[in-house]
Amino acid sequence: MTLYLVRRLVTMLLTLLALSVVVFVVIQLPPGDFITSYIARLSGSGETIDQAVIDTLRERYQMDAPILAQYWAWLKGMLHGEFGYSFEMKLPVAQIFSERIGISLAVELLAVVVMWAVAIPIGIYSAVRQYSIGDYFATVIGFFGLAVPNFLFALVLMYICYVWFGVTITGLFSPEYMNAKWSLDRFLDFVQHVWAPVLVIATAGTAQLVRVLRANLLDELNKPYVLTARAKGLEKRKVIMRYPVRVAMNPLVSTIGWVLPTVISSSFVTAIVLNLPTLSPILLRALLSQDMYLAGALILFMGVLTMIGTLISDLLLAWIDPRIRLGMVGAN
Amino acid sequence: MKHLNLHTPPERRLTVMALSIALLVAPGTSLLAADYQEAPQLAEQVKAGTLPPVEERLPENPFVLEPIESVGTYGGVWRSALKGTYDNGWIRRTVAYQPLVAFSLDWSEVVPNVAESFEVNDEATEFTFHLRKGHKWSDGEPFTAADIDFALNDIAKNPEYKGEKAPNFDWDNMTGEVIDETTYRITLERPDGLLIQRLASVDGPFLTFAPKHYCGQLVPSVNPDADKLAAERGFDSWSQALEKTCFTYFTDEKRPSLNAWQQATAYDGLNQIIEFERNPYFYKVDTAGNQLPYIDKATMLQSENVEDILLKVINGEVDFSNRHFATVTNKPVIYDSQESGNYRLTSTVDARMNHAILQLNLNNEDPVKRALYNERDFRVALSLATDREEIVDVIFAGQGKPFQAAPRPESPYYHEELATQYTEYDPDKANELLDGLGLTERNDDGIRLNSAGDPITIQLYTPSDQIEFNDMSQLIVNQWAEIGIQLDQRNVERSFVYERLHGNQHDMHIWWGDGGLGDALLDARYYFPFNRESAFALQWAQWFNNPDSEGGNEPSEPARKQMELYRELKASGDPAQQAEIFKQILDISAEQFWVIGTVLPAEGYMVVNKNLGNVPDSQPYAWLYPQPAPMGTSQLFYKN
Amino acid sequence: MNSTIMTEAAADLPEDSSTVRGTLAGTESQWQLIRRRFRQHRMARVSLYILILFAFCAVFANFLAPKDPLKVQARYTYAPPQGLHFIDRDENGDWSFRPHVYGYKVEVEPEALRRVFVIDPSKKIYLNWFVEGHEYKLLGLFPSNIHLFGPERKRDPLYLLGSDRLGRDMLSRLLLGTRISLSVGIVGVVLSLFFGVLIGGLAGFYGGWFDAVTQRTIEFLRSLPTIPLWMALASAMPSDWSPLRVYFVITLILSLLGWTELARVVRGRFLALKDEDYVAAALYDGASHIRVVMRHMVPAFTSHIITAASLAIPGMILAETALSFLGLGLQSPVVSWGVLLQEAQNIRVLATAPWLLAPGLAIVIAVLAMNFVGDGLRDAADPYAR
Repeated sequence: MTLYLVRRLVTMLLTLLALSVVVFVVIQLPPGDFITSYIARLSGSGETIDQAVIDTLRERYQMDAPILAQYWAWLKGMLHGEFGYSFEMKLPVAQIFSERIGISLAVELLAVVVMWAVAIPIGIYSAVRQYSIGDYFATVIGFFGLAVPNFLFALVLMYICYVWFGVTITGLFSPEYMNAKWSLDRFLDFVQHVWAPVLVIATAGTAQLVRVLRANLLDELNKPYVLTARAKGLEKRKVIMRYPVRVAMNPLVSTIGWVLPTVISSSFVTAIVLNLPTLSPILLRALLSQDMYLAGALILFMGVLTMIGTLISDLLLAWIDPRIRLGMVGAN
Repeated sequence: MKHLNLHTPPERRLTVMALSIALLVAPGTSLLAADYQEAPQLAEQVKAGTLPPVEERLPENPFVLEPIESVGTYGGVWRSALKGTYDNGWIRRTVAYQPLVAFSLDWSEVVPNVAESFEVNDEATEFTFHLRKGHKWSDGEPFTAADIDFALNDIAKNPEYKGEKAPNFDWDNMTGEVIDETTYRITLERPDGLLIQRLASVDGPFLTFAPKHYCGQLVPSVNPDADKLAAERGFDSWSQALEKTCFTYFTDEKRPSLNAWQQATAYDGLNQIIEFERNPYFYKVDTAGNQLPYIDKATMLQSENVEDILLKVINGEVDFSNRHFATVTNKPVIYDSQESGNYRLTSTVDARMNHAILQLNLNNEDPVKRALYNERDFRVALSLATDREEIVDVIFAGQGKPFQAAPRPESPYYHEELATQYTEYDPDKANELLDGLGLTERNDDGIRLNSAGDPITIQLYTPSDQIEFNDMSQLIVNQWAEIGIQLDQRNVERSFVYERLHGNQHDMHIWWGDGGLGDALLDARYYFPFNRESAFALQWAQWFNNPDSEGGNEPSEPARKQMELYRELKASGDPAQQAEIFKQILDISAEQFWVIGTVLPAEGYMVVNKNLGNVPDSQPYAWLYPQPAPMGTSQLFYKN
Repeated sequence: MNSTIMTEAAADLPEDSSTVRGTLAGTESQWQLIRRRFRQHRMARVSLYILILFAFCAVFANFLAPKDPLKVQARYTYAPPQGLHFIDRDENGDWSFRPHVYGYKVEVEPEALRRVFVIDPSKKIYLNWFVEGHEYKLLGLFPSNIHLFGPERKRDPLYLLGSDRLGRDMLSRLLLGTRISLSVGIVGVVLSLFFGVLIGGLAGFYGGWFDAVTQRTIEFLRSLPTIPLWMALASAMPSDWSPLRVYFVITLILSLLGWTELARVVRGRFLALKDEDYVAAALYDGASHIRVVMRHMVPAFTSHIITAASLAIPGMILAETALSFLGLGLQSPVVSWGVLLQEAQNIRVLATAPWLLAPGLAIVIAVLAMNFVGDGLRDAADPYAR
């Protein structure tokens, strides 16, 4: 197991390196660079910029250096813990990152927790009580959440809250707490706001979890060993929880690692519509304005998260299903 | 009071845009020092001894502002919204417009502002500004001619400075000198009759933006250790540090200012609300001697999308703004919610003379296309084939009228022929013109073939953030197909549009018709190849700005004539003569028909809290005239 | 749609399955069983009919559309839906069956910058069957201008689902969008299914270095955050490509990322199944690897693949709408549900023209139906079902 872990860690580092190349290429792919997008934006409001200034900016940001040199400089900086400088926000990437990461992860983890907390009981229920009213109800509601595009759901929610309650639910804080330090009042204010994005993000993912769990559990429930266990007089609840549920979690566990990145992706759109002070809007802006160091670092971070998630899920998979664990050891 | 008109008084009904300079605007009454009052919070601080008394904070001769409606009362917050991290335009339009000289409310005059008075010599080569004695920055430090000199010589004219600075100034042409503490003089090598307007424009505050005692620390010519200090604060160079701190990004809230409200929160893209608090040293008072501003605080919420801002507007969470949301599309929603949102609408007159200007690239790299686009009849045919009434009906609910790229009817430079020629919808005439050009062959789809035997396809990239361009283009695609011209329109990211444009790879460009009111002289991009935005002839424009530049190309005879005329115009300090020369330029524009206009924008609108006082009923809307700032936003107040 | 493919495929199979060793004469084949059980699943059956209807709409979109979906009508921007009436009453008070709608009274409110529509019952617009209208190609082959129904006089307004900001008929646009959106989903899922099962299966079955390489590749692809990747790829697409080409490439992009999830799940299952006795028995029996996989292992988790696929199609459709939301997906004149929703995602529409959200409803119905069909198939294909 230790050997396996070490090998996984080494390959992870290599993957990370490959990822950094791809990320760099990807952020360079769109035509133009930060300066062109900056000029375009200025023209939008009727502003102009002198050619001389453009030239000095290009020189300063080293826009015209060969791509390989730019990549090398970027990589070298990252190894030293320097993530570069955001052209647009005129701040070090690390500072932007540290300001926003907490609140981003809070919203996203909260959504994950809600998703799992809702999905597991419902999944078990609708497998055990297949075709009951409750099963249909859970299915329809779940699918509805899955079927409505996030951005639409968020927008409609915003509008409904305005029309019915006369409040705008965007953001995560009321104006008076926006720039305040954390306090109990601010936390309560946060709680009053955070339900909307969590609702939007969680509805999109819950159905998927419910479906997968239900399907797997149904497979297991009908297997002879369940019948055997029941025949031996074990309580139904105990049987289900102890064996089939555990097995049915297997494919679910293999996706656990991706849940967080998926949530980040789906929160991407939600955060923009609901105007959340998370990293997502910053990433979108960075991508649109081709603020490459910022975009690069953020994408890379999302990649690292996925990798850690995959690692965790692989380890869990081995732990939860002894057959895989043994097979794995044998292969080594 | 000496009054100098910048051009012939227009005979038309409009006095609105007749631009003149009031050399001395003297306050009607002079107030005694003891007459001054201040906001209650400041009075408390004075009492507590943490702030000097109001008489000491104000300059000896404060600016006395004549209120639009009435003298107001202190208190309240002015709420508005920003979009994303790069929306400092709104800050500059509202709380950060304190140039030496400013535009008057109706854009008809340039009036003293930070400067108590100013003089221009007849040759337009010498500009002298008299500052107010005892004028102070928001931190209480004195504001003197040395600060202006610092902005001009140590920043703008400093060859070592590698950062952004105010555009459109010919810095090399300007020499500044400190006469005494309150007198500053700018001398020009070549005369510039438009400089005073430029100084009053949105770029003007550059000279009063950087306190020497604060920003100077970051400039080696003032502080030899500037580079070290910059490194300590985490910057690569002093240029970078200075740009971030003292250019119009508003990322450093500690920079002292001359504004009515001093910034309290940095606009760094991370803070979700940007706050501006009353500047206790603000130099303006009302006619009753109350120190301005009336409103305690201006707050701007940073939002990521316009729909969120719109929702805040109709929910009454925005007090005075038109930024981003005041579009044609959103008008019905905003109009309907006036009652529930407790706001009303005031009107703005858009300085833009067109919703969309279509510019064929006369400098196209493809010789066949270039030859075709340079045929005046071809452009006329396209114009005649454009059904502008349909555009007005479909996209603007019938509001607006067909118009070419020409100064607006309200403008003193209005040129009827240029404005109205070929705006009628006449596909038969258009077909005739195209046939006359020998474009009679067509392919199976009915598209005419060009001289090389290929179907005539004009590629047009519309920026995806401007829905109206996309919609208009879709209508035009169908309209031009009727005369056998294929318009291949795609919606793309805006930076892609500019990438193509600056590479001179475009067939056609579409953009708003800027430069339709008082800004026509300063931004003549559609009247002749003028700047980087003159997409119809970029190479010619480049030649105009620098004949030796790479990528520049010698313009056609008429374009060159226009450029000569414009130089002549700039050399004149006499507004009447300027207007006369500008008319000659427009005559050539009309004759050449460089670009195709579509629709004259109807009135714009602004959302105003019902309790807000001293709001103008109507105001020009432009960038160079940074609406609403020239109204003097410090006079806004809440009625009880 | 997915289900029709599945059932068609199923129809070919019975003869083959009778050759399976151990099948007793007289019992139903596996696929017959599946079909029988599927019919018993009521929700799935209803959903299947709905999907068939959607598919029909997609194939005959132009024929069903009463108006040209791209035709701009200046007078009728943001026109609300007209009610459809079937019973006509003439001046004498006689009743007859004659479908019709009422015309509009249109007024412009210059202050509010909008048109106000009032249904005008005095203006009856009768609908006829098989009327002549705009030209199109039936099934992409046969030129025609006959439409299922339309107004008696061609120029009369007919907006059963209202009109959009340019006065284009929403119903016709929705029908055309169905075609694009469904095909994006299906083509995308078929592609990802193919890659996913093939690669995941091989990796799970053989293990070793192939498994390791696949695992790393998947991990790598999965660690690329989807939205920025789409954004970069979409904006890097040459701008002079035809809309159709953009559409195919976007589908390809979506499925290139879609296969990894399936592959991983399949692999996990293979790993677990590999050690089952019956698999070992088949191998010792001398069956080829392919045969063991296809005959013995795949059926054991068909249900899982079906569930995953039925969830993946809506995923594809939604991904397409998300791309459109970011302004990177398909573009007009191509009409898809995503494009339509993108045009509708603003407060103006929510407040004054909610009928433009109809594509959202279509997405919800299609996604729900696909999921129920997938469900029904899953339950029917369950080898251990009671």
